[in-house]
Amino acid sequence: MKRIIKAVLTILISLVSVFPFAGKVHGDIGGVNWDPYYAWCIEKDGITVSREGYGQEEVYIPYGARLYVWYSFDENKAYNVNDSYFAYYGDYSFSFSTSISGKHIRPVKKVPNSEFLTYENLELLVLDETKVYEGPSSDYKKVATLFEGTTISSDYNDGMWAHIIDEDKEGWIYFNQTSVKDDLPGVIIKNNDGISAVNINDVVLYDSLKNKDTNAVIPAGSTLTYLGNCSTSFENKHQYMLYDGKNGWITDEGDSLVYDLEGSRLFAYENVILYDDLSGSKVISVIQGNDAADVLKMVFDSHGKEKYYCRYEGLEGWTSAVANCFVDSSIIKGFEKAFVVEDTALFKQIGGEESGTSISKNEEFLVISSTEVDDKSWHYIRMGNKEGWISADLHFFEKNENEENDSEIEDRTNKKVPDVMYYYVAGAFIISISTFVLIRYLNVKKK
Amino acid sequence: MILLNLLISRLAGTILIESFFAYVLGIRETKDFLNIVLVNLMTNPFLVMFSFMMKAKFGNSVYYVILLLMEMLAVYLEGYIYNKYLKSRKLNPFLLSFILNLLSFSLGLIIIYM
Repeated sequence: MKRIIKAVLTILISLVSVFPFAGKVHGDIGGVNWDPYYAWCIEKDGITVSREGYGQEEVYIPYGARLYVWYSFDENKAYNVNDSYFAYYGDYSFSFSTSISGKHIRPVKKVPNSEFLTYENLELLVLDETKVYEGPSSDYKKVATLFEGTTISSDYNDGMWAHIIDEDKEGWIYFNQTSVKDDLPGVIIKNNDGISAVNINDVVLYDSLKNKDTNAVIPAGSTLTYLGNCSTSFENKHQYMLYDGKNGWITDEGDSLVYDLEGSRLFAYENVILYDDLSGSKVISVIQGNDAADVLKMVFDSHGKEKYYCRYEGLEGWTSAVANCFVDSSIIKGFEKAFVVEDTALFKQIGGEESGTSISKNEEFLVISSTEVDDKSWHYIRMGNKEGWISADLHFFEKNENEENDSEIEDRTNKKVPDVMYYYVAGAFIISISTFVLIRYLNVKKK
Repeated sequence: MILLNLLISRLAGTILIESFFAYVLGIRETKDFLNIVLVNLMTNPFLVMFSFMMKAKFGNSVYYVILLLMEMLAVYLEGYIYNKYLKSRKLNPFLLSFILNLLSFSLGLIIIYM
């Protein structure tokens, strides 16, 4: 009897002792439920939520408003019960926790066929020497170098890495530098459609963003031709322009340039509000969800985000296309980047995490896009202020039992092991040998 | 860093569980505990990393087979060292190794899937 009590106590104490490690032990607990749905606000007085990416700024959602819940993240399998949701309302994106979802909103409709954010089939212009890697990370082997002036096709990019294809080259290039550091982007999306812009104030045309070598000072009222920008950057402060036969960079700190986008169309997923001016002080009209409006012009605001001037049912006004709408890339004269699905003011480069590693249980993340390259599946995720790719091997989606997963399982064969994993295995092997020697030394010495 | 955290937490969890059960099973000598800790340091990181690598390379089905083989190898190696250096002989060293590994592995699974 004494032994049984001892054993039970041992198990209980061990469980309690090890619990703090549970969060780090396994990365597959909890996960993103990528199953969007619409929901109504059922709180009579409305609800107030914190807006994503704007610190403590709060957004009021009135009674009866329809929300688009993009994804939910549940973590209720272990001791830590914590569900969170990511949703859109009007032009706002925000996240909220279980306390709000349970009490204040009611799901009404599943949204079928939700699509990942992808940009496909682009022509890229190389401005500076750029390395090509085997995979979407600099951890992968360098396979080639692209030189200034090269034009190359890309069949897929996620907003940070582009998969390129050529007759003799294939690989991934990094082409999102503008938003993360003041450096010259090595690659931009080539724009062949001749979008023009008029500058309101004098602007400087720089040869290089790094050195800020002045190429020309362009007086207010001039017309420039847009050649491209670091289009994967969500902070579109730096535009590559043509003026008077000279190419160079313009740093648009906000409202310096007005782009002529007449002929483009803006498609609204959800209601999109049109304001009388850029500050959004007065509502002019609301573009209804699933409807479209004409786009006349566009500016980048001081945060580097697009603001579109649209015409809808005879009324004209400004809207910030940060959520709930996209501007059709085939119509908008080469602005492929205009497919914006969320507020991206805090977009940052991933920092310091090794490719191919697992993610701790307690780390919430958002799946932004997904791709397959050579039968290998990848998810592009955001965790806090970090972003990067994870192999589909490390995915966290809760499986829908009705879905056929055979192809996924099959995809897991022939995966490439990231280099960093070899280093860890080698390190672990060295630790093993060293420890074995130490054990021998300690025991033999004392004998 | 995430991989390193994972490695350290698994190692710490294993050492904690095995040391505790070793105590329950009658191990009292400090030097024996030191050997148990070192033996786990010898086997656990390599086992974890190698099985992860196999998972990344070949997928889940191969991973489970490799994990099982690696665990068996770990049981044998740990048993071999216990047999050679452990003072306490209340249990057969290989049986001790098997019990400790089984307990740490099972408890790990319970914690993960609870």
